[in-house]
Amino acid sequence: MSPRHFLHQSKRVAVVAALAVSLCGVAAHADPFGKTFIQDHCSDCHADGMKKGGFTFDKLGTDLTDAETMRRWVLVHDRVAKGEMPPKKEPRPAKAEQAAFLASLTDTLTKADDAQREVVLRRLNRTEYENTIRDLLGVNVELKGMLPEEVSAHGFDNVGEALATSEALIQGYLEAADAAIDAALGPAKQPEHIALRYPLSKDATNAMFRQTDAGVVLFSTGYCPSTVRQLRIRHDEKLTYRVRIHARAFQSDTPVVMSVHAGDVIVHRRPFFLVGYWDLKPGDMNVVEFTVRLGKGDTLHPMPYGTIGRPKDANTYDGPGIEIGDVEVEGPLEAWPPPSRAALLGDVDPAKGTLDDAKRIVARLLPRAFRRDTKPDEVEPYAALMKAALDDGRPFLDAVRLGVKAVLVSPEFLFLDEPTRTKAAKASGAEIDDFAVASRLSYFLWSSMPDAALLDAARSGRLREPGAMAAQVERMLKDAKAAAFVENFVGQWLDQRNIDFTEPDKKLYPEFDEALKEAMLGETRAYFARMLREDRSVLEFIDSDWTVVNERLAQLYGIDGVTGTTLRVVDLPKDSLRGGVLTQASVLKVTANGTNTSPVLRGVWVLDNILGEPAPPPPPGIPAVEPDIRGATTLRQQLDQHRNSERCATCHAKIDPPGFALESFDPIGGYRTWYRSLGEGEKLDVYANEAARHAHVRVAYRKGLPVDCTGELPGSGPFEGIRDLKAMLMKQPDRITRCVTRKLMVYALGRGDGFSDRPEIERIVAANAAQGHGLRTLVHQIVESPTFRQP
Amino acid sequence: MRFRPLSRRTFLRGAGVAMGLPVLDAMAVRTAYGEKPVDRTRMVAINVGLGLHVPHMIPEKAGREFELPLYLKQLADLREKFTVLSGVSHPGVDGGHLAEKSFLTAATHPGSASFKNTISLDQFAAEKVGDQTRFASLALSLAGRGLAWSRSGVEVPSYTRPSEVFAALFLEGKPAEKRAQIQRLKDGQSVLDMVREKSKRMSQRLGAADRDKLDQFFTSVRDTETRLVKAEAWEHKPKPHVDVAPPKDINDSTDVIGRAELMYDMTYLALQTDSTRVVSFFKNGINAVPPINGVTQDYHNLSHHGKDPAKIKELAIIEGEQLRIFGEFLRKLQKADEGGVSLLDKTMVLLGSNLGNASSHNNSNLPVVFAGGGFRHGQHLAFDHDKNEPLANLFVTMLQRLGVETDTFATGTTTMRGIEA
Repeated sequence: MSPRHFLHQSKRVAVVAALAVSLCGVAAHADPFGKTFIQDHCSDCHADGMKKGGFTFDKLGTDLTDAETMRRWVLVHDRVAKGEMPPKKEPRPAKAEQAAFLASLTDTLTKADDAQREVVLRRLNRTEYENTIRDLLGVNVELKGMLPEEVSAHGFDNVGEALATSEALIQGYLEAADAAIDAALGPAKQPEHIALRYPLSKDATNAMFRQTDAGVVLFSTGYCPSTVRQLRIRHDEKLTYRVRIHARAFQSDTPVVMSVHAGDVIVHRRPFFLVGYWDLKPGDMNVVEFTVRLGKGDTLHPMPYGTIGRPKDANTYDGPGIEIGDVEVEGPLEAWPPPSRAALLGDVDPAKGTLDDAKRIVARLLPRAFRRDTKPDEVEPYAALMKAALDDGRPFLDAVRLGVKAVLVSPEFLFLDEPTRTKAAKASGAEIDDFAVASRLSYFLWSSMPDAALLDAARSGRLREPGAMAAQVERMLKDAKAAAFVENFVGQWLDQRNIDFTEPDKKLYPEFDEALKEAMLGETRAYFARMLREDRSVLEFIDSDWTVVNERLAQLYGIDGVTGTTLRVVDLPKDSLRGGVLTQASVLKVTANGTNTSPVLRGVWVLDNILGEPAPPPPPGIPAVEPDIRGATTLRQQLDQHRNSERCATCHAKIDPPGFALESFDPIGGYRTWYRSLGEGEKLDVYANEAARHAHVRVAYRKGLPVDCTGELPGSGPFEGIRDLKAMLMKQPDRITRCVTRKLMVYALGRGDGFSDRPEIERIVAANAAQGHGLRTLVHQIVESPTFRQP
Repeated sequence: MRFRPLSRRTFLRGAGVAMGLPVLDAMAVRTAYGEKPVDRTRMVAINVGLGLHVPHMIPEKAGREFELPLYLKQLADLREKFTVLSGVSHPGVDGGHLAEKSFLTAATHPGSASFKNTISLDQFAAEKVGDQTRFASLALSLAGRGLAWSRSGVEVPSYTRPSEVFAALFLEGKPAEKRAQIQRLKDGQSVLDMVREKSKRMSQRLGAADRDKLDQFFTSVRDTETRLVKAEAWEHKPKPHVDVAPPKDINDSTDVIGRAELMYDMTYLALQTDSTRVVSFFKNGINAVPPINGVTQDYHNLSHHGKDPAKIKELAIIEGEQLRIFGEFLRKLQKADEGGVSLLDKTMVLLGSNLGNASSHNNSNLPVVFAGGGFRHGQHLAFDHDKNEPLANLFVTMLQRLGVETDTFATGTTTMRGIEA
């Protein structure tokens, strides 16, 4: 993206044209779209007014800069390459003829795709922005919420083409910059130090609690007014507090769980959030200790989890509860003034600061803010702003604020500028410069700016030495900041961010709650993290002999012997249905809605995200099948009619099978052999949980129709259910690796992958297979790929 | 309740300009413009995110001789003030719930991998008429995302708290706060002025696709600067006075009806004081049980009723409430007189949903009610169930009534057939 690079774009076109001329003698180039082949083998069904399966060449243009036209030509290529077209019952084209057609089309598509396949100038998305400010200024401040929601493309919200700029965004940046600078300078007055220790019984006085010598006993999981009311926080900013809660299980031989929520837990005017769950042992008081960020009006809410609803008489009730003694809160733990103030201002005394001081402050900030070396005169525009403020007689800190704010709204800060290092055109290996490579790497693995070590390596050219990138990847993955990779990549690849999109119906799935949801998300996150840490095979995304559960999730999965709220790795028995991501509750939940599952929607999801072969969208005018949960028919039965038409059959033969196998799992990820029904069906003598059993409240759902989880995977044959399906997919390692590679590539580069990326992706897939399919190895291979350094 | 000092965001969001245009009452507006008549048509667009059960919304018969369906019975007294539309939708807009992003933009395939949104009806209108009022537009929602989208396909943040809307519309800051705010606006202008120059220079050394991105940045920076200038001008003018107590926000997020009522109240005040001419309001759904008698199940789940009669019955209670408060809003506009004309006749109000059949996430055959604006209403315009009329045609009709010279908007290529001036 340097001037040189710009010139070379036009030069490259010339090169391509020259190639075409020089190879003119080859039939492939005389007929770039294989018109003869199409005429001979396709036109009976797909041209001259024929449009079998809804497809015709009559309306298919040749302008490959149009995304839809490109998609369709790639589909033509792929279906012929796979031997799906012409259909089996039609005469086969001669092998050589087909090969020539594919070679010609491949060449045409590759060139057209390569010409547009560049990383479009990426703006930091709001997650990256917040992390970058954190690392740049050494502050911990929530800024994401001040910026408009980002738009995703190709499944990720860090793709340059989709990251647009608007007036609302610029206003957001001005506002967020102020908040960031406020946090860096710290509050004008030292926040009041709080050191609180008192018995919760002072606050929890409702008759639903039992007062004891040691404290107060809470039984109720529902309404439970046990908030920590003596805590009065007056500062606006969120600062860190250390909390200790002295508590134990009551009237129970086994641990009882305590949940703690924090934030605006009393009036709910602002958000509150779950801090965590703890297992309280009986006997001596447990000391539950954690740190939490709190601001004005925030406090804490401890309560029991998994006990009964509300006892009739707290003083005589003999069921389990939690007994809470003292609550301790201490903080803020942050120093005042914060270290970020000195980091920004250096040793300048704001009362005596001059323009030169202000210039030095901004000059020190610039190279880190722009993630590259800066020239001495780059500070001048900022200096001019600050000078004007000082000339107006405004205070020194106002002037500095203005300068820093301007840095934080500058395009060099907000965009990942990637100038090329070499003069060569992309096809022959143009590379972005070392600073740009460093930024790509750090936004890939940390969702944030490069640190000093990485910038040093870029500056000195060491980043190009053999083994240097690998060493950086290892160093960076071991850093705590790499949690952002797991969070953001998995959060989007496996749609974890959509976990709250629907809330399971309380009548159909009374066992679903926040604790289960947290455990689901935790499983998938920890599962991926372990695979990455231990370089485990990407095939474990399909199946594995282990997973990560706590007691709550183990109950859902029917795994015995797991107690407590802590997630841990467990070995799965050989015949387990679980293992891999397809059967993780989080994935099963995000692919369903709150009441039912659709084999079509789950099938589409599997094709998109696990097999990497997205199904085309349904043709227009086909109504969605309306689900019917009255219990008379299953969705599968309704779908059968729809699928039996020839027009629908081709795609649905691919889409539906994975969805059929997953019909064994309900919308919250539980295993089932029959559907829960709110209409027809056999009454059940089942309780949702202990609390319901105690209250003699049976579940509202009935035993509905049986689940049919059989199907046939194209190319692999019929299956009886999920175990068979997984076994079939395990025999297709390249397909799985290819999908994961492509997802990682999109995320790493911030651009969609296209036809011209295929050879490099195939090379990586093969190299990864040769080294045992390791996920960490794959991350290395992507970073080492020439594509990672290309514009 | 006590009001917090206005946040910077509150000041900036939706601020437009109308130099020398007092906003006290209709008469004052007229004098400000001297003899020149002022067209003060307004528009309000509302989307009920979880759908509206079509059998209860759409009359069986087309034309003027129809029987009001269950929900609309509550609007019987206003029958001549609204038109019901059926057989309308946005062509190419699918994706179930994701279609809410396209409700006012009509941008196709909101669920696709490379979806890019386009400008929404309200923002388009605000570009044309927004400079006449303190707020170019007002984007409201019950929580989170709203309906307003910029030209570059970025969401325009919405107000979610009635108290913040009220403060922005009517409450003056303290003198020191105002001074600080004016300084902040001036600082913003000088920062952006510099950044704009920088991006212009940076743009010169980039390739075409990258340059587009930076040009968009440049344009956004320039537009923001203009907005800051206008906002600063407004800072020097007093806000209109209303004889209404500031609203008390409802903190129970499940109380979708109570919260929506407050937003309707704010919308009414904004229109009545001519603080804005363009309002969008997204009634987001919730995954929880709203506190309404007779409702025991989660709203979102009820909307996916799967034909279960018990669920439909509960759903009808919630949606009936949606239409009841909508009727009250219309009545309030009807009662307000502006120079001999009712405010309703000066205000076009669109109520609809991005879902046709919510239970199957279908995005065709959307239920739509179009009220006010001085049209000859009282009819049911029934278009082809299988070949829907583009809803954006109605947007063209609305824009034209607003005084915007355009024959198209997104997938709308003409005005809506059958709407009688």
